[in-house]
Order: sequence, then C-alpha cells, then structure tokens
Amino acid sequence: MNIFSVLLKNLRMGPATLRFPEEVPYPKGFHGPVKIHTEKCICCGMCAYVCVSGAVRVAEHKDNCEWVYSPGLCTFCGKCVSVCPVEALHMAAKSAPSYFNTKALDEVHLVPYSPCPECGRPTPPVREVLRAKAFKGVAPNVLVKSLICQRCRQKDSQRALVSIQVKGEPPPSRSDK
Amino acid sequence: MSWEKVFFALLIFPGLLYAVPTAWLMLWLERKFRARMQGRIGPPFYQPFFDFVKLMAKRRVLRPSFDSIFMMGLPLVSVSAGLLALALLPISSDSRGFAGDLVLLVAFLEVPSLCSVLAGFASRSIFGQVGATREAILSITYNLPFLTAIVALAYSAQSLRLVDIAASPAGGVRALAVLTICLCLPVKLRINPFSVSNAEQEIYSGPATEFSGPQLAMWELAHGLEWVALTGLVVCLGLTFRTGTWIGDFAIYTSLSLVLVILLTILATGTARLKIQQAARFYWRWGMGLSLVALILGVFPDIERFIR
Ligand code: SF4
Ligand code: SF4
Repeated sequence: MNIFSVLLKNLRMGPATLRFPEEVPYPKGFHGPVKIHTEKCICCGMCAYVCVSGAVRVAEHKDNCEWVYSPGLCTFCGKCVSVCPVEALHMAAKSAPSYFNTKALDEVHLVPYSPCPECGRPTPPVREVLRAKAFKGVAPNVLVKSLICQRCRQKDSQRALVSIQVKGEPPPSRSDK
Repeated sequence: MSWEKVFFALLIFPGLLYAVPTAWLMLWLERKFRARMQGRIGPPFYQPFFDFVKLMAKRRVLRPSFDSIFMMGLPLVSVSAGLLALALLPISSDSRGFAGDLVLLVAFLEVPSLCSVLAGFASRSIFGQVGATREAILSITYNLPFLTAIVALAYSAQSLRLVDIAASPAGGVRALAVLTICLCLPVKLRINPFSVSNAEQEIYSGPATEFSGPQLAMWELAHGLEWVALTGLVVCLGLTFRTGTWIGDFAIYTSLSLVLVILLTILATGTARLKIQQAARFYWRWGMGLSLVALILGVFPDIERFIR
C-alpha cells in the first residue's frame, strides 16, 4: 500500500504548485537569450557567421559596428557564444518572454571603434584578451602594431617590404629580445 | 404519499434544490481532494458551477435533427432519473415510500448508464462507440452482484419498500449487501480503477466524447447526481438508526455522503485503471461471492443464528 502513503504525504505537504510570480529555478547553464558585453566585442562577425537561423547580424559602419540580435529567430543553440574569440557573449539564465510579434524583443547594440594610434581614424577595437591570445611572445615594438588600423597595417608592411628588398636592411625581427 | 410530499421530495429535499448544489459540491470535493493528494492546488469550490454555466452558454454544434434530439434528450433523461432516484431515498424517518419503490429506485439508478450507452452509439464517434460497448459490458458485470445484494436485502426485510429495509435490524445480511453495493460504487460512478468506459487519455471520454455545450453540461450534472444518489443509497441502507428529527437526519446523511465521496476519491487516486476483463473478474468473483453469501444468509436466516 505504498501509493497511499505517497498520497498521504502529498496531502500533508500541500500543493507543490507555484503561484504566478514564483517560478521554478532555472538549471545551471540554461540557454536563454544571448547577451553581449559591447566593451569586449571586437566586431569580428564570427557569431553572425555561425548563426544558422540568422538571429545575429553584425553590420560594420564608419565609426562603430552594430550587433543586432533577434531572440524571436534564435534557437538558443549557443553556437555564437562558443565561437566568440573574446568571450563577449553569454546566454541569460532565464528564458525569453513570449511576444506575439517576433521583432518585439530585437536588440541593437553599438560597439564603438577606437582611434588608430597612428592615423587616428576609427578602427575596430582590439582587446587585451585577443592580444594576449594572438600576439603571444611577440616583441613590444611589434605588439604596438596590433592596435593600428588595417590601412596603417598595410602601409607598414609595404614599408617593411621596401626596406628589405629595395634598401637591403634586415627585417624587424619577430623575437627582438 | 400526499402530493405535497412528492413535490417536496422531488423539488426541494432531496430533489432539485438540495441535489444540484450537493452534486456540484461532490464533484468539487472529488476534484479538490484528488488534486491535493497529487500535490496540486485544485479548483475553487464554485468551479463545477462555473463549468456548468460556461457550458450552458456555449454554441450548440449543428447536427441532423434526429441526432440532436437524441444528444440533448439522453442527458436530460439521465438528470431526471437521478432526481427521481433521489426523491425515493428514505432519508428521514418520517418518509413513507410505497410498496415496490425499491424496484423503481434500482431502475432509476440504472438509467444514466443506459443513457450513456445509447449516447455513445448515437454520437457516432468511434471513441463513443468503444466507450458505450465497454459501459454495456461493465453494466452486466456489476449489475449481477448489485442486484443480488438488493434482492438479499429485500428478502431479509421481507419487503420491497425502502423504508422497511432501512428500518430492518442490522445483521450479517445487511452488512454484506451494503458492502457489495459499496463495491459497485466505483464502477457505477466510472472512477478509477473501474474507469474503463470513459477511460480518459485512452478513448477521450468514451460515450461523452462528442458532447459539448449544454449537452455536456447536462451529462456533468447527471454524473454529479449519480454521486449524490449512489452515496445517498449506501448511507440510507447502511445506516441503521434515524435521529427522528428532520434536521438531524439531514445532517448525518449529508456528512456521511461526503465522507463516502472522500473515501472513493482516495481509492480513485490511489489506483490505476484496470482492463475490462480484470474489472469483470473482480465483480464476478468478489462482488458475486459477497452478494451470494448475503443472499444465502437472507434466505436461510437460521445459518446466521447458528454462526452466532
Ligand atoms: S544561440 Fe544559436 S541561434 Fe541563437 S544567435 Fe546564437 S548561434 Fe544563432
Ligand atoms: S560578439 Fe564575439 S563573435 Fe560576435 S562580433 Fe563580437 S567579438 Fe565577434
């Protein structure tokens, strides 16, 4: 007669139902809507590239980039979060609220560009995390070059090429210790 | 029985005015208690009433005219049969009844089941038909012990009057017969473990599958009245004494009926649905056994005296 002791226990404990504002705690690692830390993002567009449902779009402008997210399209797969090289993305620990209109929850975040240390033009920001990852063991005089804009970088490499091939100077070494 | 008394019994107590709210109360109690035992909150006590009002206000589904006559008529017949059965119950000690009212009561109690069989077939839904077939088979299985128990009661009281049976002295026959009737309650009310004919989640709701709106409201009401009538029957036949005052009888009758509802709910919540063969075997083995013993004791009262 085990079932009757279960019933009696339920009766004694009262209903387990939660009234509306209360809710069941979300489990650890729950895949909610994607959130961005704009101060970490480098506008690389990887998240938009891997998102099969087109929920994330990254649009580059003159002095900032736009990170657009539509939870209404998102499948909460977490792919964008896992590919972001600078860990700028994470997933909320709660599910998205329900809306009739898929566009109602759309979010637009602007990631401001930082000025190029050489020419001063706005350029997609380069964060410390990325520099630590990508320029590991690189000489400090080269490391400063990691912050410059694409144009300046091209100019720089052309100048280096000229100095090596035309003037016969040795190239700036990679590990100039 | 004078005409005023008949009208009082039919329309006020234990008829319409008393039975309908009590039916809703019982339906609520069953749902609430079941919910609480399952760790849910359950409906507020006015829920069956609101359900009824809401169903009554719903649009009727258009059907061929003969079908709609059937589909509205059958639940109405069930409701009236429930009310008539209730009016016959010898609740207070000053009710007189008439010779043969026992037979009439048994007939009225059987009407809802019969109507639901007819309704299942009339609705032309396959789920309704499966449910109706099961209901018909079950009705044969449980009526055997049920009727045997009634015969045993009538024989030992030497009367077909309900008042005489209720007033007859308590004894082995009466205890066994009432126990058999109790055994038949879950199947007559179509609750677990004998909810074979209206098996929800299996054949939707059996005979009532195609019913909606006011027709369904009437079925619900008929079901509630069945609860009132059947628990009332057990209380009337099982209780050997009457307080003598009208209000005392009323209080005891109502509270014992509600206790019975709670017991049945516990049974329904704690068990799972049986197969139709298992249900039939149960009634033919245990129900029949019990009622046969009651009948033998009723026919040969010497045996009981000998055992004592
Ligand atoms: S979680 Fe999946 S579907 Fe949602 S934005 Fe990221 S990659 Fe796209
Ligand atoms: S969020 Fe991450 S992956 Fe997406 S653009 Fe920014 S840095 Fe790249």
